[in-house]
Amino acid sequence: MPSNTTEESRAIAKLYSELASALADYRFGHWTELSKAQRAEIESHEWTLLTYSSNMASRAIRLAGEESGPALAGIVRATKRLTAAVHRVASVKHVFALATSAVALGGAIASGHALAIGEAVSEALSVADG
Amino acid sequence: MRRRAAPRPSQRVRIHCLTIFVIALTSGCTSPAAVTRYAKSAALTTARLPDVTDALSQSCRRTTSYRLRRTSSEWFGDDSLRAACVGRDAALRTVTRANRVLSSYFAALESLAENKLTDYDAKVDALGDAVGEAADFDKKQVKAIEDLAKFASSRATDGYRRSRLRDAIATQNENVQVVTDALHDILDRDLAQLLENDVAAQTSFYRAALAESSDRDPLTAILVRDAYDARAAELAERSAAVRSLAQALLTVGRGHQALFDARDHLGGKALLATIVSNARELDAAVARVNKAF
Repeated sequence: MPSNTTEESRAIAKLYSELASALADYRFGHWTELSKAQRAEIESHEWTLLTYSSNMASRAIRLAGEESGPALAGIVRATKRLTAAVHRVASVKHVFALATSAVALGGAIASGHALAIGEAVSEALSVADG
Repeated sequence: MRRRAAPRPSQRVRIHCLTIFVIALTSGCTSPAAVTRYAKSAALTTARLPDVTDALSQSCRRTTSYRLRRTSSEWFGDDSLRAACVGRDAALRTVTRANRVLSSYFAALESLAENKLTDYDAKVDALGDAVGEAADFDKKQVKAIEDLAKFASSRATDGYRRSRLRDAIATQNENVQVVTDALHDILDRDLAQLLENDVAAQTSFYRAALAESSDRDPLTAILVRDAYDARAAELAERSAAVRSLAQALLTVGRGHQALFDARDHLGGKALLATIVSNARELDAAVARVNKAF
């Protein structure tokens, strides 16, 4: 059986892929309402999230250490909330905030620092609920 | 006229005949036809995995190229694409190494079944160590890979032969189950996820290009859409083939389990029927992978 860390990494890879798809759906669904610059910014976040997802699926990012369990649980919770928020979002400003928060969380995961991950999770949860 | 009695066989001849009888009997009881059939199909199945990993490596470069074309106006070369795919390539190499160890085990099993002498392959043993160092598997999986590698590389030097086929199947069964399960999970989830992400990236690339230019140049838009449809169909077929290969690895594990369960009667008809059915499933999966990659 795979370890919990492996399972959670897979779950995060899937969630980031879904989050990128949610952003793409928003971009194409609001194509005419968005400016070229806004579309480019959202698309840039999509590519970053897809890259994070692939990195996690590749296991290039190692989430080693027993203490990482609770942090990973927080990542899963925050990413799910971000994806749900993108689906119900009303303003493009909020989409930018969600996408930026997701990218920051992905960066914190890549860094492997538990403190940075914890802060990014809190920020993501706050933005998703905002 | 009194008939002459047939001469009684000498003690030496009687012992010789008895020896032949015992060898024939023993050989019949451990007829390795099922093992040979199984090992060949399992080896063919694992032989396809490098094609999948190569394609996924190339797919990463293509996806990175899409990203760079969409997000940057600066020129980029192959070195940029390679740099972006270092993580994926490293993970794929680890998978390929583990798979090669498994493949070598099946080659060893086939050699044993056919009572062949095979060359010592020290590289296989080194592969087991390399997989362990890569740390992309958990400890149990790494140990299974290392044990399989040691067995596969020692098949000639340790005097393993047909008479020890049963012991080989018995001692390596758990390792085969662990490694086939691990490779199944990697294919079914991780590699499938990578393909899914590549599909999403490709769709985004083509869809954005069409949305931006279809009004200005409708004829070009038709060609671009055709190119997208062809590539999307190719990726869909590849995704299905990866899942099929993942299932095939479980079938490989089940086949070895069947050999293990029947290790005292390897020449049994029921086992051969099970293995033939197992091999047909593997052949179908291999055909699907051949077509897609």
